[in-house]
Amino acid sequence: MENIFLVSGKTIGTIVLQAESAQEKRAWVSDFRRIGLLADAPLSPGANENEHAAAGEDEGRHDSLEDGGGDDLSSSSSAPTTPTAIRGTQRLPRTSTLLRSTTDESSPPSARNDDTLSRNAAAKYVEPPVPNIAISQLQDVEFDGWLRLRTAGKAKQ
Amino acid sequence: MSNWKLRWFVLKDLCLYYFSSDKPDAKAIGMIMMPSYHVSVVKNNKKKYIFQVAHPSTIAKPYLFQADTHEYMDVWVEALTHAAMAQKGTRNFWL
Repeated sequence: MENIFLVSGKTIGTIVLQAESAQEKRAWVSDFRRIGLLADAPLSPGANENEHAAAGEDEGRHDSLEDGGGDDLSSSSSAPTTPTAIRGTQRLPRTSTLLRSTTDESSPPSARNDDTLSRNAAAKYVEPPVPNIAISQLQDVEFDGWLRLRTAGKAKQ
Repeated sequence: MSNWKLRWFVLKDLCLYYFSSDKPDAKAIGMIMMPSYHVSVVKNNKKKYIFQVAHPSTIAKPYLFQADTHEYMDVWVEALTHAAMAQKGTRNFWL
């Protein structure tokens, strides 16, 4: 599975999301960071460095747009020109409202009311990708043993 | 037919991996990243030694586990709870 990233916060815990493309992922990570959530892509071993560098470039793009008066990010040449879907759910366009509200660092993230939060709810949860790892590769384990497992119904969407 | 499946679980680095076999070359068939999950014992009149691993956001499916003994369940619940709470001291912070 590609373009997976994690989002962590006090109220949402840690969730795994999947974007349509690497560019979309960078944009989402940047947006989540702007509202005070910890967003990263630790499930892609070896890719973190590039992800961080790319995210930094993305944030720089945001900043320059903010300085320019809050243009709609979707009009940027490096961003999608139309709203795109994340795993089948419609993604809202990033707007100047989003930029203005999320740059207000004086208010706690929970008090911010912006498009990013609503888009967060629209993003579809995906199960963490199953790593291609064998038992023999798991050294110094903390605990192991047999259990019976059952997934309890469907998650709320 | 029961939906319960016997799996070999390995807890390492706050991740709970599960396998269909305990052979060294068995590949993981699933993984739960424990931070942020809540671990609790489930009272069930029909089945014993049940515990649940659920995400507070409710967007992720909860997992139900059954151990063979009460003692075994307690050990697992303690280990998983420790892993689930580890996030508080590591990755989860406000920017």
